[in-house]
Amino acid sequence: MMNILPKLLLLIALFFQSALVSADNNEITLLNLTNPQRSTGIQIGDVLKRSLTFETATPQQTITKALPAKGMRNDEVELIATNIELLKEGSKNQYKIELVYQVFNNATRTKVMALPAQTINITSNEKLSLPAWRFWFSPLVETSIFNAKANVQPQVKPPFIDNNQYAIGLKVFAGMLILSILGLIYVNADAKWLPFYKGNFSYAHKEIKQLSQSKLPDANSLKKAIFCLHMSFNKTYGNNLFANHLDDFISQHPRFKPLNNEIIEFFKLSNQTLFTNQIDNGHELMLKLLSLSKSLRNCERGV
Amino acid sequence: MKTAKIDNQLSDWRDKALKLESEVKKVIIGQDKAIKLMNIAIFARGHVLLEGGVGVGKTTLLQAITRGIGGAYERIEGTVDLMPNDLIYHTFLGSDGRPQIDEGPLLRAGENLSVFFFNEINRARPQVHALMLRVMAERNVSAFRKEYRLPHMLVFADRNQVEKNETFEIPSAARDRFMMEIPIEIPDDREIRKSLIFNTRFQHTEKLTQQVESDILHFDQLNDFSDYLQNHIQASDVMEDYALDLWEATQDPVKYGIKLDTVDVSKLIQAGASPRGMGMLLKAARVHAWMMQRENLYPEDIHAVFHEIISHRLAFNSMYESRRTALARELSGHILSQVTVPSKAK
Repeated sequence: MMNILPKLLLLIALFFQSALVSADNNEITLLNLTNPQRSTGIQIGDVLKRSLTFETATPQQTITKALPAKGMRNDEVELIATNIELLKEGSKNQYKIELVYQVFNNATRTKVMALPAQTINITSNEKLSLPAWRFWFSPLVETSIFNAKANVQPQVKPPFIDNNQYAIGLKVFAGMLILSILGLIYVNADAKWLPFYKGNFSYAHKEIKQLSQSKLPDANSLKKAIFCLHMSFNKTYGNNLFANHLDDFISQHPRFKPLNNEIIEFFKLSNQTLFTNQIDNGHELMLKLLSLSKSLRNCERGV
Repeated sequence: MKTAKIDNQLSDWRDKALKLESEVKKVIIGQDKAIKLMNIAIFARGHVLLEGGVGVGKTTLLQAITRGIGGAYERIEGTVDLMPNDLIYHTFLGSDGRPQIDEGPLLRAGENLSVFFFNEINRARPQVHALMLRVMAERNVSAFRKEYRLPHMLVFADRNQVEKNETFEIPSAARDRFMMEIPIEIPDDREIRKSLIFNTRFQHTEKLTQQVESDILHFDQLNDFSDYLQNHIQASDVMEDYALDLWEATQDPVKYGIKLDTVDVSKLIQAGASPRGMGMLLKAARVHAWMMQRENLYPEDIHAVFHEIISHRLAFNSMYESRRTALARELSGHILSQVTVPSKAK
């Protein structure tokens, strides 16, 4: 019995020794584990990848068989692809395994989800344990898919339209618009700050326009309106202009020639109003003066 | 009915005035403006001083007009030895050899005197001017212990501005008695000049003036019609303001921005137009308005007579007196062109 015991102890010792050597040869070393870069804003349909690099003496075929099956779903996260790649050969080969997941959750509120913890049993002694990796799931819409449909927005920026072909037309139009506006201002404006406002008849027209705002102009308003026009004639002529000098006035300022008859008529009306005090229709007369002053202003501006 | 009668009266007299003008124009050519102005003076009952060179037709013009006015016409020549009594009486030896006194040219025709022509008035002494001042202003004169009334008399005088020897400057008071001083100038038109020297009808002055129809106006009715005319023609408040502005401009031209090229205007005027002068201006302007068939005064009416009524009334500082005729014309022209109608609205 005493002879058997040492032998038994030796046998046991040899057994454990062989077992320890075997364990040393088949040891697996995890070198790197890479999870997805972004852990927030994950939405339904997003694909998440995690990869791990390790060394082992186990042949690739054995490892491939040990990989989890595609289609495995865990908490609305489905493993949609696996991939193994031999990175380096040696006494121990270096492998890279890639696990590809897709999220199928349709929650209407943000929630915490996770790529599942995974244990890959390569051999009975070799195991790769991957911890769960948590992330924030974000719903497409706040309440339901129905509302999301009503609020569909393009996720890609619209392509730029080539506007070069319209640029010239736009510039021409803008130029014409500016010229038109300037022309209208030139013809109609009365503002004092305008450089061409200083014309004699521009001033008269503005004064008469103010005087004509009364529906029933009194004799004084009419006289003032007539005086304004006379003053403008005088300034333009350089002296007092009377009816018997009109031919001289027109010859000096031929731009007023188209209004020759109207000017003669004005002097008659002026004489009648100022020197005979006969005013038949004050309102009508004021309108005539307004119209004449505008025509004279236009002649003065050459429009 | 009354209005129609008034209109007819105005129209009839206007026809007569225009006829007088046309009759005189038949014998005096190239002086249309002077003829029109004299016609205005006749209806405004104003005395006229004609100014011009020698032989330009002043006397012929006056004779022609006088014939058209009708009434008596008297004339005297201004000389350096002319004395006032020469206008009132003259002495001569009668057929009986005794000295006799007869009425002079001023009194001879009595109330029928329509035109008294004083030829070359600037040759007469100031004493004569003084007598004329009274006669022209009051139209009466005392002589032979009684007063002679000359209600229809108009004085037409002339002066020769070219010759200065043995002449006396007419004082401003005497000038002011004349309603108008009308320049008589040689016409510029060559055709008219040719007619004046080649047409033989202009060689005999007396025959020429005989061609004017006589008594067109009926001199003894002119005063009444003139008064009526003056009351008939109206002036608006604007015209009144304008006339006042013109008057002020003759007194203070600087205030109205009047400038003359060669003269310091602020030192030019010694006295502007007198109230009598402005009254005469408006009187003559009313006649012009009537001739233009209007019942209201227009600025054109004043302009038509302004130079002839105002220029000789302006008294200049002595340093400018030697150029008075030219300066007076220039100044009155500037006044009309610078004073606006009216200068401001009320």
